[in-house]
Amino acid sequence: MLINPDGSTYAIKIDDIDVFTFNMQAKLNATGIYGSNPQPKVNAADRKLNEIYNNTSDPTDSNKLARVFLEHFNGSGMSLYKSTGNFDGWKKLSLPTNPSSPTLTESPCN
Amino acid sequence: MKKIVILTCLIFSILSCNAQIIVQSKQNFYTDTPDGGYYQDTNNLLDPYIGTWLFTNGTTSLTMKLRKIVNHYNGKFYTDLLIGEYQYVENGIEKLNTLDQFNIDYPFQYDHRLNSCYLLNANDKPNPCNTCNNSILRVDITYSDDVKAIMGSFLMGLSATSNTIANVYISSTGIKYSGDANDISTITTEQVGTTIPNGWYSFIKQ
Repeated sequence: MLINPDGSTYAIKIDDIDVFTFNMQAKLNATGIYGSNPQPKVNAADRKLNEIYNNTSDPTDSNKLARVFLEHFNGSGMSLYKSTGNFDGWKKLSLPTNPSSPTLTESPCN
Repeated sequence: MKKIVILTCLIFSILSCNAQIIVQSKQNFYTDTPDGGYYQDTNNLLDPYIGTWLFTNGTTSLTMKLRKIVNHYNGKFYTDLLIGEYQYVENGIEKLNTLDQFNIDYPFQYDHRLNSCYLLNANDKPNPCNTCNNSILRVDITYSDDVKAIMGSFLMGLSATSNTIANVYISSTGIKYSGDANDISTITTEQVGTTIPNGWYSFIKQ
């Protein structure tokens, strides 16, 4: 679970551990950093996400954080949830069917 | 024999033509770089950060030395790169000091405790700098903490008031990763904290 300074709260759920593991391994390998030490690879993968976030246009997109995350980890065997308030409810966030749609698809969990 | 020499020269000339030069900028996605590409600091964006920088607060101090190397191959692509070392003294006690390794040229220069070829705007996240010069790109310097065996970032930007003052946000999760990165199932994590506290530091160029 992640709580941002603005109070928005997110959680992720691993839906398929095999797909998740495969994709995370691919992301570490894609950093192009050689060697078996995981630290610089994790660091580079994290930096890549920062790069993508900062280079993504439309700073007014209120869903930018979640959108970048969903796009980057699309098909990675996990799903993203956002708290609807005081942890009394969650909604699943997913990319819209229409890629040009400004809003994310929200599916209440309860 | 003559034919072999000519063919060899031809192959080398083709290979040299294939090194794709990419002007180093904030827009670069380093992790998507084609093999053999070269990020060249054509506009000298790394140069303002070269030198010795000092933060002091009473008996606590942080000294970092940075230099620039060009055309370094990291096993995937070439890049111009800032590298350096640092010393951290907390309440009069030296906690970290690798300054004596500053002039070493490693085969893999990323082995320096400070290294960077990453640029970002003053207002880029995380940790945008409100007191930095917006017209000069910041550098995101990777730092290694040998005591805790962790890594993190020095987000370094020149002050809006002076090019000899740098505002730096030091950031690390304090998470130590162990295991084999080539087999993600072996990787374990441990929250060990950081030697240098996360936060804003104001450095003066020496």
